[in-house]
Amino acid sequence: MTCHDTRQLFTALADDVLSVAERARAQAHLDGCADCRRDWERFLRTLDALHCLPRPRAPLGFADRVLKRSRSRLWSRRLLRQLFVPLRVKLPLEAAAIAVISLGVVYVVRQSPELEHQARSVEPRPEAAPPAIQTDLARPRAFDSAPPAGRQAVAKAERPAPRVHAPTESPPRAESQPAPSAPAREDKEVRAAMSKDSASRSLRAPATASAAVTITAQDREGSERALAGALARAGGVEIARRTEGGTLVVEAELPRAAWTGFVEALRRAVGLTIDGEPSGSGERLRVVLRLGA
Amino acid sequence: MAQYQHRVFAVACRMLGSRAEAEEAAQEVFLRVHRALDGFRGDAKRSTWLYAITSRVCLNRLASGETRIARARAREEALDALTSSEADPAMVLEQRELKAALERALVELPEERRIVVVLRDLEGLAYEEIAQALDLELGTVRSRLHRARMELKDKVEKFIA
Repeated sequence: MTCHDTRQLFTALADDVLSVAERARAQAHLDGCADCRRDWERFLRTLDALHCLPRPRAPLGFADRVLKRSRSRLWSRRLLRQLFVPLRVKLPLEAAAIAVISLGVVYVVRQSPELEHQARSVEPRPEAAPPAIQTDLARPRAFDSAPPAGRQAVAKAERPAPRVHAPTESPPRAESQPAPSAPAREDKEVRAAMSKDSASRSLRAPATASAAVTITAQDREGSERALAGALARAGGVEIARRTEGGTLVVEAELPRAAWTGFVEALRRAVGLTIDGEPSGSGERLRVVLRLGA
Repeated sequence: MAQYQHRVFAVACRMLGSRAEAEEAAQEVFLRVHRALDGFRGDAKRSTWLYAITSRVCLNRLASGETRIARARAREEALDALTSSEADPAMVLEQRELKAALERALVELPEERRIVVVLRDLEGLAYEEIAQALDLELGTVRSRLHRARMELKDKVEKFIA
């Protein structure tokens, strides 16, 4: 065995992984070669020194820092993974969910009764911009120009109570009013139906065609009942109701074809005066009735 | 983790030559271990698996530019320590010189040899474990270890009486 061969076995010899024969040959060479023996001793001392090197120790709190960092990183990774992984599946699903939720919110807002009520209250009332009132020119001048107190006096003197204006026509409508049966119950049902429907009617735009028709009744309470019954029988509906200086003003709508029957019914029930006849085209007729106290 | 933290830190410190760098590397090792713990099948000893991850992390870091700078600084520090100890021979023992020289020589070893000698001579792993951790042939482990040891001996023999 040469010196080179022996030195090549130093590591195996030191770790004791040589076979017995190889070990014996190497040992024999070392015994006979001073250079190799000196080199072998240096090799062993180097290994001893290497084994004696102090092992660096992890600093204090190292494990805590690692655990803390690990927890925070794992939490964020888990959240991201749950939200987005697999990206191809979850991203389109999330986009679709956002779109559906947005549409749902819009639908709910539009269908919300509160918002609908708000829209109704914002909508102008018939008296705010009513061509019907402006066409109420057939009333006596004294009644118009008098202050509220004087107006009442004039009204008492003339005993005019209800005035009916049928100046405009509204667009055709499909719905119909239920037929009444007994007079008392009929009044209640008709009133309920009329007041229920009045809000939605008031939102409709007034018709352009107009005519000045005034109906004067003698008795207000009787006139109200008679009006409700006649309106229901004529297939008409009450649109709005208000009080102007002690005078009850009722706006109603009825089929134009039922106009004659409506007037006759009122005439039979209460004394009334009709100023003129409705004019203009259209299947529906809009009337304004003034019922005095 | 408490059981292995000093082992991992020691390997990282020997490989990277800087305590700060070693702490970062050891943290990375344990984070990887934490993530991969579910996938550990137990084919190898847990310590071997841990050394494998540590070796990979350290070698990756050594391949990056920042660690090269840190390693160069560590070499300079080791050299300074050696020079200063030589300046006052009366106060210096032979063993201390040998240790300082060995530290320096270890830092100067090529990375693929250094990791083998660290795992074998400082951590006490068997050849087979080193081969498994570094994914090397057994013969490669032997040859690298022998070269590393001979290189260390050549560098420190002048400090051996």
